Amino acid sequence: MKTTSTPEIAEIADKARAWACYDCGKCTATCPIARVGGALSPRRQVLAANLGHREDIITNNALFACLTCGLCSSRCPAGVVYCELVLNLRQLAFHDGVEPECPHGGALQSMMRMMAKGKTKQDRLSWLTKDLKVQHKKGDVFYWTGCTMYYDAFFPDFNITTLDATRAAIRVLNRLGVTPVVSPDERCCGHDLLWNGDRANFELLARHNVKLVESSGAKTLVISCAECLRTWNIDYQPFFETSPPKIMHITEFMQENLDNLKFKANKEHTVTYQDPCRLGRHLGIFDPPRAILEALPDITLAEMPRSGKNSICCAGGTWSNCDRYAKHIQVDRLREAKSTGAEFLVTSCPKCQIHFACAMKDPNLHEEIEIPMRDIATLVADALAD
Amino acid sequence: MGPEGIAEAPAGESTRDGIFVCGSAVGPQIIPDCVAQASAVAARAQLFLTGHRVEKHEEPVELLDVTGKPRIGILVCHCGINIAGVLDIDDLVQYATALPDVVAAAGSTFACSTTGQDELVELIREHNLNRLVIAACTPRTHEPIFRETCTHIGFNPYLIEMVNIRDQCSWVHTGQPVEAQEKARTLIRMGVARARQLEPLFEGEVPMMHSALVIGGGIAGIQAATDLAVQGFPVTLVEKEGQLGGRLAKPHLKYLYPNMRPATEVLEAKLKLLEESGARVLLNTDVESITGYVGNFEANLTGETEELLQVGAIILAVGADLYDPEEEYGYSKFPNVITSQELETMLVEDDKNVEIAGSRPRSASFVLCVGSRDPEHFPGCSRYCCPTAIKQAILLRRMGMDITIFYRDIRTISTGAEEMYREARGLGVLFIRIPEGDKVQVSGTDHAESVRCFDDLLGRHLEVPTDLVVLSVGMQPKQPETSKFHDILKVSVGLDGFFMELHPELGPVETPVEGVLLAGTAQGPKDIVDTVAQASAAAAKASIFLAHDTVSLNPAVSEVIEEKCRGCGTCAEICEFHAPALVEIEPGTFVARINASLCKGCGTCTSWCPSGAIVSKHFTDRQVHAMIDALFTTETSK
Ligand SMILES: Cc1cc2nc3c(=O)[nH]c(=O)nc-3n(C[C@H](O)[C@H](O)[C@H](O)COP(=O)(O)OP(=O)(O)OC[C@H]3O[C@@H](n4cnc5c(N)ncnc54)[C@H](O)[C@@H]3O)c2cc1C
Ligand code: SF4
Ligand code: SF4
Ligand code: SF4
Ligand code: SF4
Ligand code: SF4
Repeated sequence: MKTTSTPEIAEIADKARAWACYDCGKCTATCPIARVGGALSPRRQVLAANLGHREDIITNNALFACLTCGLCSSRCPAGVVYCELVLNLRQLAFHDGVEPECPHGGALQSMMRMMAKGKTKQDRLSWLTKDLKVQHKKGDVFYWTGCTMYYDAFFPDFNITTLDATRAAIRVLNRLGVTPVVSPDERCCGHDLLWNGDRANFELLARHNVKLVESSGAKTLVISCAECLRTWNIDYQPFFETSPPKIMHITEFMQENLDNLKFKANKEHTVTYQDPCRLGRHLGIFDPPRAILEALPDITLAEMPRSGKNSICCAGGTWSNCDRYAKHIQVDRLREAKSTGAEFLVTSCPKCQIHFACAMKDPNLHEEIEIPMRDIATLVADALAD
Repeated sequence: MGPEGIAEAPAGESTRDGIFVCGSAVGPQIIPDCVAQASAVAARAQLFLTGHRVEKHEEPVELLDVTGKPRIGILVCHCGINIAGVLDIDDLVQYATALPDVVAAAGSTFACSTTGQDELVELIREHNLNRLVIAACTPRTHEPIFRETCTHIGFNPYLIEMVNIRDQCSWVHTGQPVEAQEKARTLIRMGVARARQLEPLFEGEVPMMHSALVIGGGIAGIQAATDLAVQGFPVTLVEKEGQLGGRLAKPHLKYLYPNMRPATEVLEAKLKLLEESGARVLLNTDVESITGYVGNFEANLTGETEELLQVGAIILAVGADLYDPEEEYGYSKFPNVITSQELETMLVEDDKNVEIAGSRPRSASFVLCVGSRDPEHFPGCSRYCCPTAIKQAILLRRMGMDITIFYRDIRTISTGAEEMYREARGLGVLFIRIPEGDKVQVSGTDHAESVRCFDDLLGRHLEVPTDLVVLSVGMQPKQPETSKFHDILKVSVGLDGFFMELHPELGPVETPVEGVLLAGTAQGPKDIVDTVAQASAAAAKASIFLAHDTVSLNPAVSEVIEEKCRGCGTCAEICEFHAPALVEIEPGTFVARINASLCKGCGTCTSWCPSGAIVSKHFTDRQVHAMIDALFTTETSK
């Protein structure tokens, strides 16, 4: 095996503070994949990165097994930013021709790459209903839809409508007097391609999207999808030519405007909340969703034992690893959600819904893990007083 | 010799023991019938031979070393003028030489001929090849030939890639040689790309059960069971009714064309042979389910006998249903409108007198093609009903009745039927031809009084008074058996709804499921002569399986990488062949495993698996992606 240490690896390891690792093993002890028996040891990966064995690190399955959920880093006493390490190593791997075994035969990645090339005409907005007020080019608030319309079409057998959340978000914005820009020219944010290592296509998407939002003149960009939000907030920053708009999660925007929202009493519901890894640990947005649930009449939040910073992610992992261990994590998580006695599992990322819905299709477990799911925005929209 | 000067040999037997006749020497017939008959004859001939068990006598060959960097050889076949008449073979050879990892390329006049095979072996040896691309015809018929040759010299047969430049280039694009040439180059480029990714695979082996199950005790089942049992194979014949014989059993048929021998006599003779053969017969017994694969089927028998039966091969001889005319032609309304089957049953009771509601009809009309040759019910021809109507017409005519037969075409395909037709006309039976798409009208008040139609030959409307109307009903797929066995055995069903043979010429009694064979009307309407021939053919083909001591398992099947499987069950749900099943490997964790002997390697599960956990061996994603990539890259640099 070749053992050339390249400056690239050293640079990557350096940026992720791999050098600070003192081999305590907390990360591996924490890692949800390792806990269910998967062969993933973040500690070993950190050490390998320090040693700089490129081929070893890249061809090692552990690189793509990681969910990039960030749980390990949150426990690391030395402040190693493990997700950063993985993100950049995957780019190296991609460069060397190593790609993850994409679930669904890579069809979703193909769709993203088609959007990156930009030659295909999208019919992106046909889900807009008449009651929703939007504009298509310029405005103060840009509402970023993400790819929910594609997901609903791609997973018809999951019986999920992630678009409901998109519509609900616009309904709430309208109620607050905002007519957001919803653009027919939006393209995939590129989050998954970036995390699969395909930087080139990610950049094509980033440039297009940043230009689109800049040209709308929006001062605020409101986003529902947790992954899109992470991408805009962190990964798109270098692509802005003018000063970026204020980028907010829909729950943050709603929280800021809670005073202007009037709610009607609903039937009583106990819900539990799934922190999406991108929204929670990646961006630190733990409180706004909870504040909103609190504000809704008749909704009681029953937290799962592992919540907030300690939350376990949906294990969907950027469409790069969907295996026995991911399923195990999902099943455990759904059991945990059910154990709270909640009627609904509320989340604020469409991907959580997709991956959990897939797990719930298990032919053997049925009601042991089945729990209806809702996006937080739909709860808010449904509670709006007439 | 028969009166026509053709060998008189129904179902292959001649008048001398040990001499058999088949094909058009018996009478004019089409290829599928010839092939079925040839197999039947072979089965009969086998009975005279001893020691027909197949033993492995090949010397073990030393396997060639195929490891290391791909060393690809290409043979481009002329297929006489089939390919070379349109494509420039030299150009293709030259083009192929420049492709990556190709170390040798050559043309061949007929790659599949003995000379061609020798050239192939020579090419492999001379250049120390470890991959082979054969640009020729279709792998469906020819891959086995090349694989066998390669196996003989120890070259792993799964390292061959066939590129079909005949069917897909020279044949379909005969008029566009330039484009055809370009397409052939592209296909070869893709073939080479896949060949580079091929991996050697090895066939597994499991023991073969030497016994057989015949389902259905009609004439087909009886014949098949007898033929197999006589050869010494343990046979179980299950019949769901209380007696053997199917349609021939009392009270169904009286005399049988073409010889007009009583059905009871024919059946008795057949049953005697069956008894002597030692086949085990289970009456009032049905088959509830079947699992397994060739050599190792397990059938769950229910009814009078309940047991789990293990067999190596299965013959489906469940027969056919008859079309029910319901309201058509006044069938449900008039008591004197009956089906040909009902007439036959009346003849069984009394073949001198026919009585309808206490009175003897003086005239009778036959309506042909009822429920046959009708796109709404069964588009095909039922084959047995023309001769049957003629047979019945002759009997009634002899009772003194005036007979009219309303037909669209008279099809006297079977031996002796045309002679019967001539006889009927000689006896004064009237034949009236009605135009395609037209139907006769049966009218009357409380019983049918006349048949009205447009006479195609006279070109005018006719009304024929009648005392009796006989509807010559066609055959229909046997239900629920056809759907049931299609479901549990995955035997294909054709557009006509009957079980479908593997290939009309190449496999007229075989099904796509190895070890499952078809006999009689279960496969499509036919008369007894054809049924019996086909049943013997099925027995012969079954004995080919049963004579082996082991079954080799196709290694080009799918496999689950258990680490990646999320136990969603999609593969188990989607597989037509019930090959994958979920197993609990630790409490609450399920993974799929594929039973390699049930899997056909079709790849359906592979493409549905959400997590990419399934690998279709010999058609891996890598191999397919390599082909797609090669399709879109035109440079040929090494
Ligand atoms: C009115 C009429 C007249 C005919 N006249 C002639 C003639 O003169 N000459 C001629 O050559 N042909 C004639 N035929 C055609 C002839 O009857 C058929 O070709 C022949 O009987 C077909 O035999 P078979 O074994 O395929 O089917 P069948 O005789 O139908 O036998 C099938 C058997 O399988 C059994 N079975 C079905 N399902 C199961 C199951 N699940 N488990 C166990 N057993 C099962 C059935 O009970 C039946 O016994 C005539 C047909 C009809 C309808
Ligand atoms: S990011 Fe999550 S999945 Fe990846 S190593 Fe850390 S804890 Fe494990
Ligand atoms: S938790 Fe941090 S310090 Fe400890 S082994 Fe993991 S990366 Fe190193
Ligand atoms: S055999 Fe004669 S009656 Fe029967 S379907 Fe064919 S053409 Fe019609
Ligand atoms: S490859 Fe086809 S036959 Fe084999 S398990 Fe998959 S679906 Fe079934
Ligand atoms: S479809 Fe794939 S993931 Fe689902 S059970 Fe089958 S092998 Fe496992």
